[in-house]
Amino acid sequence: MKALMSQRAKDVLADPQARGQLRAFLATKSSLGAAAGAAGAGEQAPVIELRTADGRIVRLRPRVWSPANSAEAAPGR
Amino acid sequence: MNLALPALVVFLLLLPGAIVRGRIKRVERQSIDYSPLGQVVAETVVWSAALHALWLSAAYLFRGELLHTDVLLRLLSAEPPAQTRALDAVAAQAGEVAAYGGSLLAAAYLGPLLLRLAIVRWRLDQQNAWLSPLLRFNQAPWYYLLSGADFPRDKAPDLIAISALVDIAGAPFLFTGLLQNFYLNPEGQLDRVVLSQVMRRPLAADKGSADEAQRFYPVDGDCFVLRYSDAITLNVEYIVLGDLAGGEAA
Repeated sequence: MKALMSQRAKDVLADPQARGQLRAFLATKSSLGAAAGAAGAGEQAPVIELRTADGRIVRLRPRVWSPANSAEAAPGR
Repeated sequence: MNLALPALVVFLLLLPGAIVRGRIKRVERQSIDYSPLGQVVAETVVWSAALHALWLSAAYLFRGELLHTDVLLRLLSAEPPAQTRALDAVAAQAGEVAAYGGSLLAAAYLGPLLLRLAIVRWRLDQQNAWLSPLLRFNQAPWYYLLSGADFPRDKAPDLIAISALVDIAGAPFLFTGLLQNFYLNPEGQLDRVVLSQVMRRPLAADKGSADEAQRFYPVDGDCFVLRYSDAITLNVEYIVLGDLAGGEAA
């Protein structure tokens, strides 16, 4: 079965630079969470710069989402 | 050859309900249905009754046909002469009876598929949805955990990160990556996950290390297949890629 993956995530994985930044976040997310708590970890997380098809650069902040807090909206949406 | 006609009639009457019951559920186990017999019978009878009520109503509204309960009861009787008379009555309306049964079976087979598509499309089975107690696929926990079906579409995370502890030659290694696909075995248990962007690190390297990013080693390859049975623990994290203000032109 296909796992959850948004179109934005697919775009990030298709962009070599953004993919590397996402990988850096994956490597450090646990220490970011331990240092600042899950909510505050986003403030220190590396920024992903995604180049869109029309040449713009979209800056994304990855963070761990808690399913327990289902009322929480993703920022910027 | 003796034919247990009443048993055959009961089987044919309940068959549509049994088909609906089997097809409407998203069940991750594919081998044996361990549901209690009472539950199976009750669900089958309820579905069958609902379908027959619907079809009989349609037959009355569009064709003016009524159910001949006397014929049905004679079919269920144990007296051969009564059964013979009932069979003659059925044979006299063979076309209508065949159309009724054929359309009912077709609807029982295709209807659940459409209903499931609607449930998934409109997320009617979300944990907190008001129809959830009725429509939730209770025997598909991995589906809800790993496909994001429990999240509202506008608030769903973007991807899932998996971290798994794997014992390699007596040493524990932490693997982490992005979940692409997952597969279940016939018992409904998670069989394997397919990851991308996988990194690993020996847990022994944690001692005295300051820079966490430097402790991970990238694993080459596009897809990394991890068997669930090989994982000591499996950690699931939902990742959101939130917009930051300040997009710029290149």
